[in-house]
Amino acid sequence: MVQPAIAGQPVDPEVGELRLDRAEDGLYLSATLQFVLPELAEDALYKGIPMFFVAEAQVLRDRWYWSDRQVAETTRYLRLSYQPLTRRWRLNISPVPFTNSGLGVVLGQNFDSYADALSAIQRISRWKIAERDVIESDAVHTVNFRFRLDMSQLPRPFQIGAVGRSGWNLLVSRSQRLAAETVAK
Amino acid sequence: MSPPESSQTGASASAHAAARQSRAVRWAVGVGAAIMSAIGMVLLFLLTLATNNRALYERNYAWLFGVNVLVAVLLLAVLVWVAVRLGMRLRKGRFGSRLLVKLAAIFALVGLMPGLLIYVVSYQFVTRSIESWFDVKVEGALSAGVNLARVSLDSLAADMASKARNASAQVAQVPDAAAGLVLERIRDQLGATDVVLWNAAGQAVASAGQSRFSLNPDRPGVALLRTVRQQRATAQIEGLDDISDPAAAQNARVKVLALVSSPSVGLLVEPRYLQATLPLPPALVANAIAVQEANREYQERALARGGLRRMYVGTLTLSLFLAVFGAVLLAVLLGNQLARPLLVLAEGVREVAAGNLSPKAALQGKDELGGLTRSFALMTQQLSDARHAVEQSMGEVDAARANLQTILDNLTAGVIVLDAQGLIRSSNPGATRILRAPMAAYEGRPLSEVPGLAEFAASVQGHFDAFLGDHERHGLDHWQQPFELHASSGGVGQHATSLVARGAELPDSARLLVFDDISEIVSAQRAQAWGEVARRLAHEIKNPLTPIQLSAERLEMKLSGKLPGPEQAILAKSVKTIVDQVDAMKRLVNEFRDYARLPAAELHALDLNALVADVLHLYGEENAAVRVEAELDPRCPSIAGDAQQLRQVVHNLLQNAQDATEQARAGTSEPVPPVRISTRWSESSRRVRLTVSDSGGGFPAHILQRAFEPYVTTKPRGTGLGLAVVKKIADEHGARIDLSNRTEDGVVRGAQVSLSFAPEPAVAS
Repeated sequence: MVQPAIAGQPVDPEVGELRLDRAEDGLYLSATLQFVLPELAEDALYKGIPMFFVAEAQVLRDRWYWSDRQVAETTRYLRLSYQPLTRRWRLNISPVPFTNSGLGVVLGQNFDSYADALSAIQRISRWKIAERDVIESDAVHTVNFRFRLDMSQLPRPFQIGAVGRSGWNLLVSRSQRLAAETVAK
Repeated sequence: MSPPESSQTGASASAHAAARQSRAVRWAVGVGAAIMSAIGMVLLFLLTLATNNRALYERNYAWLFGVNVLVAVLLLAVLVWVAVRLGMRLRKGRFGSRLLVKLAAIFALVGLMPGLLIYVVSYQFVTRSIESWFDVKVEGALSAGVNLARVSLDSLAADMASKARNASAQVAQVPDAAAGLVLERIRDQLGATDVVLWNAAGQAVASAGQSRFSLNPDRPGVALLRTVRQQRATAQIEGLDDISDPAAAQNARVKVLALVSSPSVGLLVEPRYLQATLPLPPALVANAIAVQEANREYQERALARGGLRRMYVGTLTLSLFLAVFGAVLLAVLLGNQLARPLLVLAEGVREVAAGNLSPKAALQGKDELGGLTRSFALMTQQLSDARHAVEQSMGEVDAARANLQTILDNLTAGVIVLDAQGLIRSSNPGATRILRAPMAAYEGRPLSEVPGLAEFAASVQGHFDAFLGDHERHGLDHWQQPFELHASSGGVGQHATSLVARGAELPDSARLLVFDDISEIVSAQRAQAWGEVARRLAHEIKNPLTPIQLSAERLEMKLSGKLPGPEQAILAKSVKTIVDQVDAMKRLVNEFRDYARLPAAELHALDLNALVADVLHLYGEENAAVRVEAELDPRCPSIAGDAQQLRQVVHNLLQNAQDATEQARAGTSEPVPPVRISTRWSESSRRVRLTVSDSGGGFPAHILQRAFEPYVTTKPRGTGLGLAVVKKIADEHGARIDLSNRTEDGVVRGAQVSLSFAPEPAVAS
């Protein structure tokens, strides 16, 4: 479901819905995020400066005798940019961090409007976060999901100027338990 | 640190100082290197700024900043440590810390002031210049440029769209199967790279150009087709998604989708779509991209300008800290270096002032201060040598003086040193003994204040005055004069002391007075003179005595019986008187003659004990008023002596003792104590001692000194020759004679005369 971005009415950033699907080949995550980009970030986007996002998923196995053990961790990098010449939005999704030397061979999508592009970001469907064999059937697992605006890929002066400024902060996260019976199904 | 005493420890101290110096140098070098590296990093930092190598700068900024902060913190820590140490030394009042603080403060000020000035100027400069980069006009121009580029691209695309729509009319009458040829023609007309004809279901009916070879070309979306149905034609610019790719300008193209208008307007006829891909002029696209990129970068920087300024100002501040900390630290260390020779010098001066002339540390530096310390060390060494020499000569002088003092103390002559005013400067024990006054107690006072010496002092002063007045003229270097001390008109019966005094001038106008007691010499001279007088007198008197006696006896003989009774009695009495007196006179004269011409002693081996025992027969209790007790030592060896003369000696001594005892006890009823005579053999001195002691009145002091002179006596009736004869006989025998008063608890109980004889050589050995 798409959360419409209503300007001037801030929405508390949150993970609206988080679903974990157990499939034959692994664990899949689907989520719907609810957030509005910070105003500064949106301005920067309209000025042609790309923004980077990071989605992280961490699978922990509960251990009663010790701290939880991390069994899998997956990261997805997103890059949203606006092309003023064509007035089109482009979203790149990559499993590895973007480098300065071109985008390379990454998945790219074009959108005609900001809202379309944002809704594409906010909707995560069937993201494979763990292989089948690392999930034990009779154990309880916890999935930590985080989605944030990644300042570290922006030019350095941005980072220095933005440190501690709320205008650039965006972080949503949620943890969900993956019960044993879910697996047994 | 205790001052080293010997030159060896001095050398080790200087070695220690050298080690300390090298350590300080290493320190300075190490810290200097650290500061240099820090400054080098800052320089690299500024270099990247200056060359505008933004990528390198931004990538390395974080760790560079961190390293610089670390270095600054390290420097600050060292600085704080140094400051705390300096403060503690200052509080403890450690020598030289004040100077160090002063030097460090001066250097720190010198380092800080220019740094602060440059910082303020640079701060202003950076802030202003960053602000000056951003300008409303520039921003407007850039966005206008972007708009211009977009508008021109859009108009180009619209133009192409209308052309494609016009061209689509050519396909309208053509069935799907024959469309290929027409499409080829349209492609040529439009200058397109690719032309595709789509049916309503989204299937490629025919194509020309590149897409002919692709099996499944990109199908337009449903929404797009719907838009085309309404607007008849759309144009979309593609290939500008990744403008960082240098080939973007070549790849930029316009994709035009036009509705092929069907001539037979039937609802059942499916609409078809002509899609043409036309390349955009690369020059135009390149310029558009350039404008857009410039705009993006400008916007980026405008947004990040706060951060940029913070970055630059932070760098600047950090370099200020680095520079100032480094400068202050170097200042402290260099100040230490500069102050050290001064401290060494001052420490040395203090030690020298305290009297410690041990070798001083010298620095090997080539500068003037090092030279100064070396000169000081040399000077101290010379001073020490000089003092050593002085001490040595002082020691020699002291030894000589002690020598001299010992000699003076043991001189029998009296020595007094007077200053020009006649005050006693020093005297020797001989002077005290001869003058019978504690001269040492009168040091610093005039000689005339000594009791009993006023006359002597006046006389001495007079002689000195005369001598000092005269000696220029006569060239004499001393005066000499006999004196009679304690003399009064009484003559013999007084404590008179005969002196010969001799005066001379000492350097620094002191006066030397030397005097000898010549009483004994005078006494001997007197005895000799008396002997001569007695001999002559005896000779002169003795001659007329015999005729006088004979004449008187003849008168008596001739007139006896011829005179009447009374006259006879007178005659007899007168004659008897004459004869008696002549006898007495003869005896007197004989005594004198005996004394004067005592025969030389004939020495034979003699048992003194036997002789004494023999004499004592005459002093039996029955015929003596005073008993005589003998105490004879049987161990006494034989002595060499003249029995006749020694017998006289014993007689004389016993007689004197008895007389003295009797005289002292006259008029008292106490029992008369006996006279003791004893002999004693002394192993240690190897002499035989004969002692006679009584319990009489003893000798008055003035008699004690001259008792052996003839005619000196304590008896009311006596010739005074007894002891003189004893003395003379003792001298003949080589015996030592001592005369003293027996005292008990300081009270005189009697007199004692003792003679000690050497044993007869044959017997003694």
